[in-house]
Formats: sequence, C-alpha cells, structure tokens
Amino acid sequence: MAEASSSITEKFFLTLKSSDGDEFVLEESIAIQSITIKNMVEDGCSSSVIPLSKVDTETLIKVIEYMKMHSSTSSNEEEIENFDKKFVSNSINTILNILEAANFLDINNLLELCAEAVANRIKNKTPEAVRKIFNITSDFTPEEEAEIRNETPWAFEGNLDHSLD
Amino acid sequence: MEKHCSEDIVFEILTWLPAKSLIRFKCISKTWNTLIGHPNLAKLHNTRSQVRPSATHLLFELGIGRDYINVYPVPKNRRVILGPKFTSYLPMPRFSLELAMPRHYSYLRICSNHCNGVVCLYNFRDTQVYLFNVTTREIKALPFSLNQASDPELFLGFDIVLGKYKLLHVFEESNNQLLKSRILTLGTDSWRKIYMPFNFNKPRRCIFLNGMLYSTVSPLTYFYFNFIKEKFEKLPGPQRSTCLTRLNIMQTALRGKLVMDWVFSQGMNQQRNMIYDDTNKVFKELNNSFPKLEKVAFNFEGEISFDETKSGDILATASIISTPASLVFPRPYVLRCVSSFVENIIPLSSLF
Repeated sequence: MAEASSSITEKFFLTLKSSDGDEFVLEESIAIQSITIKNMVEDGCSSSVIPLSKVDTETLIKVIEYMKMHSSTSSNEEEIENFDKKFVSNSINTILNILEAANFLDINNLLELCAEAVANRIKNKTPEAVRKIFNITSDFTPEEEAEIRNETPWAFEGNLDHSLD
Repeated sequence: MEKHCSEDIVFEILTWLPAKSLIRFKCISKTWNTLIGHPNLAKLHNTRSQVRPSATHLLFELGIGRDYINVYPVPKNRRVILGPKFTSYLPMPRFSLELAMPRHYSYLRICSNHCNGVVCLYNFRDTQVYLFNVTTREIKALPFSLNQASDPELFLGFDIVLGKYKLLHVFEESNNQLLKSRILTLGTDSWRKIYMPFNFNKPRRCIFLNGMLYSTVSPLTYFYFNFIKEKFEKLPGPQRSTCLTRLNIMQTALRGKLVMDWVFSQGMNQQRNMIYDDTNKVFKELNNSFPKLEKVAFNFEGEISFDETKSGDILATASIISTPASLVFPRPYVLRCVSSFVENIIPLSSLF
C-alpha cells in the first residue's frame, strides 16, 4: 500500500493570498518557480496560506498565468514564445507592477522578460516621458540638467517618442 | 495609483537599453544618473549587448579628400561607391553612418586601432594622448607623456584573461632609428619591453580581433601581436612564394574572424578568400565569394554634417541592422579602416 502511493507523484497545493485579500490555489511544483516561495516551502512555512503583501490581485493573476505556462510540460517552445510576446504587450504600468512582483518573488526569467520589454518600450522616448511613466520628479536644478544635456547633444537627436505607453 | 520603481528594477531595465538611450536618460534624475554611470551597470549591459543584435555596430575610420581613387555618385539613390576602378555592380552592404567624434576634435588625430569601440586620439598641439569611447563619446587624457616629435603609433588591445586594456607603443630609437616596442597595462605605470621580430615592418593600420592585433598592410612575413602572451607571432601563410596576401577588412569586421585574400600571380590571376581558424591556427577557404572591402556603399541621407575644415580622419558608426540618422559627406572620402564592436558604456575612469 505504501509502495503504491509513493509511486504516484503526489500533487501538493499552496494557497497564495494577494494584498487585496484574494486567495489563489496553485500546484506547488508550479509555484516554486518563485525562489521566495520555494524557500518558504523548504523552511516549512507554507502549510497555511502564503500572504503576498506586495502583490495585488491583478498582478498576481498575471504572474500565476506566466508560471503556469512556463512550468507546463505540454507547452512547446513556440507556444511559450507566443505567450511571452502577448504577455509583454500589456500596458507599461502593468508590466512595471509585474516587475516589482517578479523581483519580490524572485522569478528571474519573468524579471528579465519584463525588464527587456520595458526597455524596448522606453528606448526611443524623451526623458520627460520616462519621468512621467516612472513617476519621477527631477532633482536636478534646470542649470544642472542643461549641463548634462549639453554634454551629449547627439543622444537627443532623431525622432523621440513623447507618448506615455 | 502611481508609485516609484525600486532601484533594483530600474537597474535591471537599464541593462537592456541601447547606449544612446542610457546617455539620454542621465538627465532624468540624480538616481538614474548615478546608476547609469556605475561600472556594474556597464558590465551587465555589455553582457546583455553581446546577444542583442542591434547593439553590434561597425566603426568606420574615414579619410577626407586628396587620395581618393574613384568616386561614382549615383544621383537617384545619392550613393557613392568607393574603391579602385570597378566594372560592374555587385550586391553590396549599405550603411547609414553617424558621426562619432568627440565634441572638440580640431587638434585630435586618431593614433591607434579600434578595440571594443575604444580608440586612442592624439592632440598634436600639446602631444597629449587620449582614450576615446565611441559608444559614450567620453574622452579622457591618458596619464603619461610620450615625448616624441612625430605622431605616436599606439595599438590598443584587450586582454580577456586579465580583463584589462593594454597599450602597445612602437617607436624609433632617437639615436639609431631602430624600431622598438613596449607595452603598458592600463591602470599600471610601468612599460615592459617587447621583443620585435627581425625584418619587421611598422604595423601601421591594424585590426584588433579576439586578443590579437593584425596589420592590414601585406608584409613578406606576416606577424601579428598576441596581447595576452605579449609577443609577436607568425601567421601561417600560403606555401607558394608567388602569392600576395592581404587582409580583407570589411569581411573581417563583419565575420569577427580574420579574413584574407590570397592572390596568386602565376598562371591565372587566381584569388582565394581565406578565413582563419584561430583555435586550430589554420586558414580555410571560403566557398562562397563575397564583395571586397572597397565595394561598400554608404547611404547619404539625413542632415548631420560635420566640420569639414578639420584636418584628420574621422570616426563614424553604423548599426548593422539600421540607424535612422546618417552622415552627409561634403567631400569625397576614403575608407581607411572598419571594425565591429558591441556597445560598451564602460566609464574610462574605471580603466586607469
């Protein structure tokens, strides 16, 4: 009897709780793509609900979607590639939220995917547009900023993008 | 709800950006400026750039006027073809060029080969040698003086084992005109003597490739300099003495391997295109034929002009994929050299 049960791969499930209080049940083998969660499982802290206070529901849904696609043995490379392409077409704000979550959960593939996507989206933008996207107020005086800009006028040439997404 | 991104996240994003965007984003805030100038970012950025195709550029060294051989403008495409007399059109790579000189280059001359997009410049007024990073266009004076009357001949190399740049200096001894050479590891201040092979020609224009320095001039015996072992070594050549070897600069830059044309003068005027396998130290013949160095066309679009009153050669870059901006050449020009490099935002202050 004991032999029979050990030959079947047992499925363990974890419950993840978003900052909005929503709970998601996920197979452990999928969830441990997150090194943070993996460490918690190994330390035995995962018996009850795992609270993710830094990840809201909307973001957590996306992260789970990503982890499911990337752990599934049935999805082939082409499928994953198409999924990734579609995944990073979300709004910059959404991707930035996912980035924060990927950093907190320590999912390196997701972190790199999203960082590259944000880079591609902002690479042709003006500094003003990037400030707005990242909600940054410049701490340079106008004189300091002008000086930095004047050092490399060539970097400001070409058709720069003013849009915020 | 807007929120600030953590520095970790910003750092990660920055590693994926093209160098030009990074330099533009320095003015965003003090935090961004500091992150972008950090050597750790330069390191990771370079690793990422190795696999980002648009981060590989060609660096052209162009001379203006005088000794051009043939200029053939095609009005429709505003295209100019360089090189010796040609008889037919060949399919040619075309590049949009962007000027990449320091801002005030009136008295600066190029005095070394290209190495990872870094070049030595020489100010002939005060005899100061500078290091110039083409990617960031940062320029910084080297902390030594060469005390010689003529323009110095310097050769820049990167030692991947040490992770350091090295500078080879070839000079004539003032009392007997003997050719001597010495080498300096950037960041140290002692020159080491280098044994020069007998019957050695001045290397002149050179190509740095995977730790080795190859001369573009065709000598009788082909020596190259090994920057890791710090010595001159001999390249295997063709068996027959009736063969002229010459370095195919364009193909070498495009393929990242040494490509030479072997031209046999006896019998048929036969030419073989050879590619060097530097692991097994043998030349292999390239089966498919390809256009020669000279058969390169440049796009003449856009409105960036440069100061044509300046004396020396200029540097211009082109993305192998495509660049929106290009260079307008007011006068005929010649292609002196070309190399390929991956964007390299390393701050020069971290090199010495």
